[in-house]
Amino acid sequence: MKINNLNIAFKDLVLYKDFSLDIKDSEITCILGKSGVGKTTLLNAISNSKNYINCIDNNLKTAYVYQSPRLIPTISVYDNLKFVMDKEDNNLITKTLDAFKILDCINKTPNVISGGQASRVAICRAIVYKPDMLLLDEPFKDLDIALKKDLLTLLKNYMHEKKIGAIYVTHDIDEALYMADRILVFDGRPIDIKLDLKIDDSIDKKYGCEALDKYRHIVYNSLMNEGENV
Amino acid sequence: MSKKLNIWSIIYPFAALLFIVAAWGITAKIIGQEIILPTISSTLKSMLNVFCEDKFFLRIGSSLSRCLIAFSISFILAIIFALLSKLVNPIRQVMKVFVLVLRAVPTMSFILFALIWLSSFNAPILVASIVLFPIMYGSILTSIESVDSNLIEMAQSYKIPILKQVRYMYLPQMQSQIFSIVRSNISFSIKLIIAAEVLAQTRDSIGVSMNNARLYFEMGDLFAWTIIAVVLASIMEAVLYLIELIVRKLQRRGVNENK
Repeated sequence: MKINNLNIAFKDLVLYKDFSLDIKDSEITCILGKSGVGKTTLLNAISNSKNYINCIDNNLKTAYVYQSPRLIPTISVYDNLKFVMDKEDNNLITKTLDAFKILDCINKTPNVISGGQASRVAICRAIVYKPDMLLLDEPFKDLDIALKKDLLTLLKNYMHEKKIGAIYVTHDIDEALYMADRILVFDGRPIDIKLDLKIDDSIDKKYGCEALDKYRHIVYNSLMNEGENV
Repeated sequence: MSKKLNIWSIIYPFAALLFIVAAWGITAKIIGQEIILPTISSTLKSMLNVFCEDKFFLRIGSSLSRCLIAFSISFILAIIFALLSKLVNPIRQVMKVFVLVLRAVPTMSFILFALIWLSSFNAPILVASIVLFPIMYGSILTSIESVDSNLIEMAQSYKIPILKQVRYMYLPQMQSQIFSIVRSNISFSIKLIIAAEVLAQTRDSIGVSMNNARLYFEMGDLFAWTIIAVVLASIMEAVLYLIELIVRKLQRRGVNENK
């Protein structure tokens, strides 16, 4: 996916000015940055790339997992997943929900499940859509650490198995280091890429492990505005 | 979550009804003239007479069928145009003007036009349909528009076809409110039909029966037919409420069976 000279402004606020970025389809690219910097705006632009046809070269089928689950409240979890499928596949729906440990919610409506369960349903919805690339906007922010680790592993394994990439927005450095092949830190008005860090894929990455310490320091310093653009 | 039966939810309406009846009885006694306000006993006698008339059920059935036909026509058209208005902006803009005109035109004008264009049997149907349509269109459009814009954005990002959005997002949203829209308008449709029947002089109808009672100063009969109309509207609302309970129970049972 190529982004060339993207310009996005809201009234007097210029978020993106002549912004360019190449994203590898099969990579997991994590984007970090201060709240309100414009990370979600970029995901929205990629998701609606037909509105930016001269700037975003995107022939990929993308599935967006929003910050809030955005489930249809009047239909069941099963029907929420069926909603995005061209052809109903009961087996795929049940397997996916089971993999994310929410098969027991299959016939419930979103108003009776927890926020964490709803977040997982939203991810399952994105998966059954069979996308080429996932757009993930802090999908696990409502979950406890133990469950988050399990689901991050599941998601990562799924993406590697299906060879699909993702653009993953998060505030959690450990989450980014665990998931990412590449980390970007956005900063400034208009947005500049303060850090573009490739993670060594030979490292045996475990969530929060010491092997990632050197990257953790770099990302942390970049977020705290210490040091030059890297 | 099951609701506990609140005894006061039965007592208060019953008490209100008793109050109305008591007020009526006392006022009738004070006035003392049947022609102005008949007593409860004479009204009950008139109700019995009306009930025993040959064509009682024919009149009820005739007015009721006109009410149901008019209601169905305006309901179906309201759903179609509300969905179209939501999905196609030019239609929405045209409907704004159309509904404004329909709301502003006096009901009497519709009745008089309908009497020229149609038979006395069909004129009340047209009048009720035209008057009900903007009300139901507005209610249904409001329920459709209460679909969260975030959901619409989600559906667009997943490139969901419009018809599928209607089926999964808009229709379920409407369904949750459709019963209350229907119940709140069914009584109004009976009133409209009866009013139109009076002017159209529709044979064998509640409206004409009321009008005849007025012409012959049979106040007892007039009150009797009024009470019958109220009871009819109440029965229809109660039936709709029961249907709603059954539908919701079946939906819940369907969910539980799939577990």
